Amino acid sequence: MDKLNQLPCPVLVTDRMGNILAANTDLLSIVGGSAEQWQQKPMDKLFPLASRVFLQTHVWPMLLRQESVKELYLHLNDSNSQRIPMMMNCQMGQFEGAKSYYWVFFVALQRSLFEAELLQARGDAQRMAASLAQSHKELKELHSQLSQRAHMVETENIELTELSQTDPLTGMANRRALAIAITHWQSQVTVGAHASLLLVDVDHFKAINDQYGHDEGDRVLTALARQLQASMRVSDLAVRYGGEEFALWLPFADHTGAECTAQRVHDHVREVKVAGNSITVSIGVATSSDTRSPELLQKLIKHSDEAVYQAKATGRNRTVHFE
Amino acid sequence: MLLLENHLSILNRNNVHVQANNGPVLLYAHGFGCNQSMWNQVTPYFESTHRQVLFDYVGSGKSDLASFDAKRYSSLQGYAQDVLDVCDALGLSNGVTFVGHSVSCSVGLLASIARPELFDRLVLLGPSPCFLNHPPDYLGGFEREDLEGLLSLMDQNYIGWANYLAPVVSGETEAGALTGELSDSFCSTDPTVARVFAQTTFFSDNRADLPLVSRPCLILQHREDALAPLGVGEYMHANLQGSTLKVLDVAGHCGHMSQPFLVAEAMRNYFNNPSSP
Repeated sequence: MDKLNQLPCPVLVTDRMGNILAANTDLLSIVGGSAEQWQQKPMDKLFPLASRVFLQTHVWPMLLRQESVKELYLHLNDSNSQRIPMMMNCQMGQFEGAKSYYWVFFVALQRSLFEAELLQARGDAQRMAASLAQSHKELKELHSQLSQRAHMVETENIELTELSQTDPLTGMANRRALAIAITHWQSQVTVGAHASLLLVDVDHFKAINDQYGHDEGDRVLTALARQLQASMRVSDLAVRYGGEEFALWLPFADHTGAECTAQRVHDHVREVKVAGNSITVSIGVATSSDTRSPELLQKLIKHSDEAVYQAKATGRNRTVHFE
Repeated sequence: MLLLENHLSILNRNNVHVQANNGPVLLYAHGFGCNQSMWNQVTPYFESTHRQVLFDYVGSGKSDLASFDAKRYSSLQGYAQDVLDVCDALGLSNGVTFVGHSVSCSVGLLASIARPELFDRLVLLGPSPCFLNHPPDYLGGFEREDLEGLLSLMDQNYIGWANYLAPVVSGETEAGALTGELSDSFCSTDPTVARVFAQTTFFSDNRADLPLVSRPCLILQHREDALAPLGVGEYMHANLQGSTLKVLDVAGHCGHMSQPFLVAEAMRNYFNNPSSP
């Protein structure tokens, strides 16, 4: 017993059931009472309930199995029932000739405060990481939904443009409308009827765009569209065929009728001015009576295109009829 | 009926060990904190008379940590399913004597309610249907703050912790980080697995299940037990029909480790003569 009192830390000796055999003065100075008073009492009484449970569920099983435990953390009750944080080692040994357990304690006030803070910080970090991960996941889901949506809208736009028969800039009909009109006419007309197509191309349009900008270019196209509408018969159809290229579909118009319309176009187009000067157009005309041909449209386009080329090559501001 | 490969995977998942192959089956279930080797000093007493089955709950001992599901194991039913899975995997359909310690007693009772035909009887060492006090009718021994205190003690003891203080990994779910095995430690206070078991153990209330138990039970009560006071053993006895209460002269909660011969003797007497304690 004297030897235990010389050790510079609280020491307790128990049997394998946890009954107290000895307690040194350092221990008694914490828990109060006398060595005799604690003799044969269960050591559980020195600990708060949570520590007792920890002793029973972890410490004793390890001790009974491996005969020692090291560096465990729990609380002792001091004489005022305050919890004192302790580090503890325990090892099996001999006490007064019997197998016993030596419990050695170190008060760990500072350590426990520091560790509690560390653990708290670790827990906070873990929770924050989890919540960040969650937010990230949600953002990723939203992003993928958005991309999907954008893709859908894009596809829909393309489909809509294809379906639409109107050119968005000039408000004129487009190629699709032209194809429909020609097919419709072919389905109703008697064999051998004439029809013509005028391909109207703005002269020096690239120069207008380059010199005055695309807004001016767009204005010219829009104005030209209005003049084209004004130059034709009610039964005709004017479409914007390409960038600065327009087509006029003239059902039942033969060679002469088409030339007549082409002349009206040249006259009307003079109304469209850029920087005070009238613009001019080159016109290619194709006429056909091949009403049953499934390639009627393609042929008219091909021929009038060649004619436009001729018109451009021979000085512009004129009409060439494909022969 | 589970498939054969599922059977094998459950034997692996729960680290199932079968000792000898003769005689009626004793199925041992460890309590909170440790693993199947808690029973190592009891099994020698039944070596020649029984087929003894030991296992670890998922999350304990050398079970497969990757199978740990915090949701399943936050209810004692999840642990009871482990017991039933192990029986199915071994092809046991009747005649099993369940031997449980501490919280495993409640687990065994739940398993016997689910599948009464599977069990002949249950041996309950240090049982408690509810650790919390519910005055005035029931005193489990603990207030909520005591149990919160236990959880924080576990957090400050680093037994078998697997890299808890490693850098926080973003984008990993807690369960996703659980792979491999617990460190080779008998007991564990691992904050992700053991903590779930602790919460489930100490905050469960299975008092209402006791009257539903139809199998005979031997209640082995420790005389001085910080976890299960005498009054709790008496409560169990009064509410389990056809139960036998035997108070062991043991201080502590682990009679099977500190006084294994007392536990084995009480079991043997009960098997030989179920009517007298």
